Amino acid sequence: MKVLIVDDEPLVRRSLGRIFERFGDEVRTAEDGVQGLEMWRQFHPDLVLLDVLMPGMSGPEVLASVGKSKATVYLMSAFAGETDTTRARDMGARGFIPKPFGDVLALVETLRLDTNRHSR
Amino acid sequence: MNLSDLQVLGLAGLSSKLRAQLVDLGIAVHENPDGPQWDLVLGPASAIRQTRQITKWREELGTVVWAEVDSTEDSVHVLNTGDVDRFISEGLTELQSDLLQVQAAAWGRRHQRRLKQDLQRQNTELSAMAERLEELVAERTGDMQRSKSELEAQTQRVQRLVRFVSDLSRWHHVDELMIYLRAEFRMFHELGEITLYWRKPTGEAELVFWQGHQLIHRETGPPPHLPLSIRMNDRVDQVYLATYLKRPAGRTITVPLSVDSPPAILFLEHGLKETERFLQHLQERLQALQLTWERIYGEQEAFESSRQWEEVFDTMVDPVAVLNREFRVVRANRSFSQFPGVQCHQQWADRDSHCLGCPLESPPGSAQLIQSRGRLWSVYSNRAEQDGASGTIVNHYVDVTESKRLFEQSIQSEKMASLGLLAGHIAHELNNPLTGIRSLAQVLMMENLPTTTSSDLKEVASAAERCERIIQNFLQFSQGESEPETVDLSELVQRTLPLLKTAFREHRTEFHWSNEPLMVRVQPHLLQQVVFNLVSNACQAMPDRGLLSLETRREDDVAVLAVRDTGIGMAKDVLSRIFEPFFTTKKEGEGTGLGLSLSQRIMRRFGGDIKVSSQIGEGSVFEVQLPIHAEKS
Repeated sequence: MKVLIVDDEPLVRRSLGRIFERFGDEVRTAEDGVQGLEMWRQFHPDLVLLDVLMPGMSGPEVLASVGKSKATVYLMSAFAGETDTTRARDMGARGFIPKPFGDVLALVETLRLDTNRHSR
Repeated sequence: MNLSDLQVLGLAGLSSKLRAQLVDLGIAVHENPDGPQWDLVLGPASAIRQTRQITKWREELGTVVWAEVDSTEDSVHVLNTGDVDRFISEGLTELQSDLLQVQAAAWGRRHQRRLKQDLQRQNTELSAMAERLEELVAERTGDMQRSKSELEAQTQRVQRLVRFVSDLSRWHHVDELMIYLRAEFRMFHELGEITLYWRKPTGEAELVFWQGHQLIHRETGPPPHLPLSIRMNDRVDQVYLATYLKRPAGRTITVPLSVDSPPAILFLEHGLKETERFLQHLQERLQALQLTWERIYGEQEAFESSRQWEEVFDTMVDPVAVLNREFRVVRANRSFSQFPGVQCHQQWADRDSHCLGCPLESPPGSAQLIQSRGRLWSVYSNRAEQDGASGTIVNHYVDVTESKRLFEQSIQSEKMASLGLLAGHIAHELNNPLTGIRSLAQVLMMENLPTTTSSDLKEVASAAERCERIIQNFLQFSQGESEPETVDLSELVQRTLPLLKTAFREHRTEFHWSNEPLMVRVQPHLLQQVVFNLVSNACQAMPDRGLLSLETRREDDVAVLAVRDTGIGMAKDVLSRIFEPFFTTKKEGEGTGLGLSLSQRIMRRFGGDIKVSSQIGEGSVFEVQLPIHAEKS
């Protein structure tokens, strides 16, 4: 599975990336929206974790600009209540992940399962 | 005619000296009274008086009878004294003979006739005059007698009038006047009821009339046409009376009572056979009556306007007090309370000294905030203009508790809103790295690491988790839009405590949490605010290191949170006021004085309350009481 993580917080990128890699996934990370969009177009990921609030270009903006994509996209935000699943779906995402994650391992497992089921 | 022709009678006693003089003049003096016609009779007065014939001589001779005057005898009994005087004074010797002759002759005849005529005329005139005089006297005497009784009657009338006028001056009220008039006119037996129409200073028209011995005041319709002078048996008047008195009216005398004031009419019903006497009686009194009415009406008007003013004064919701320089209340409206003479701060704020911020000690016209009666007042103080010297002051108190509370509340919620915004940003900024730290720690823990490193990482993860929770609570607390929820009181308090750690860091703490969950239905962030408030107050009440203890427990159906401190405690008067809005013992800028009153309001909104007990020097206990929410517990 090809995973793209777009978040301006390095620890988030690093921790999520490490877990996906443990599952044997191919992981790329971007530290802002502009870089994320570019990478998305080149990398053709199956799963995209997209932070909402980032400098330069926000998650939803990236999502709107990317055009046709096979990827399953999840929006992430530390602003609880700012974005919920319904709104995330309206924007073309599969779901919304609030920060903090709680049990991050369980989260990643769930995301992988969901992506596999979804893309099938 | 020669002097010697004079026929002279010389009476006995004629002085020899005169006799000799006559002889010298050639005049023969005869001594027999029965002689010829005498031109001249001479003799001493005594002799002439004794002579019977003297009257006859006098008639015949007129002036010519002459008496020789002796020193002892008084007068001469002759009419023409002037001539005789000369006769005597000059003496015969010095008389010209012819003069004497002419004179004697002329006298004799001319004067006799004229005198007779004169006398007769004078007599008639005199008697006529006397007659007239008598008539006049009789007339005058009659007049005098007549006018005396008339005068007495008139005096009496005037006296009665004077009494009437002076009586009138004693009446100040319409009723008094009516009672008096009824008594006053009682002397006219056939006079019936007296009814008064008048328009009161308040504008309503009223009929005042007698019902037996009772005076009735009744509102009435528009007046009949106003009389300019007294009018009798007016049909319209009678119909008007009958309409409003609800009985047939008798014959009427209608009297205009007012001159300048609004209409006032006196209706006198009567059965007088002869009205002349009464009308005169009335006419005499009309002016006094009208003047009295003008006065009574004026007084009534003044009374009415002052009563109206007083009513307005008392109806004002805002307290108003008129004070003198010594802070004594001269007058006050009902809202202020009515104890003239007592000092304003005693009445107003129940204190012995001036209120803090007393406007009387500030420049006039400024508004000051004063706390009293559990409210906050804006006090406007103004000096009465016309009374500058005596220092009368008018204080107007406006209750600003509510507006001030709303103002403070809006500031408070504004603060909370900006705090919420800030909290959101901070939470976001912290959550991101925290999420990373915790996640990374979790990832690393799965690697094959030495046990110590693994447990270190566990600590890192749990610290990150704690941070996340604090931020979560902080967010909830500051965002202030939580819906009513059913929460465990103990749990909610514990959630709040991390936010207060800096406040009670200096003090020892004790926590006793209830074993059973105490489910209450509240807006969590508001209850958190209350806890926050109570705990920070408790910490501020302990200037030295003290013991802060928190306890939750169940009392029947009530969940209780007790916040106890070992601080300075509160005096009774402070204790009784701490829930008043804007009451604060803190220095300016350290508290709004709104915290406890707001907290109490919040708790009451949730069906609960806040109670307090305190001992000076030992500390205070605040107890939050909330009803246990049955359904979910």
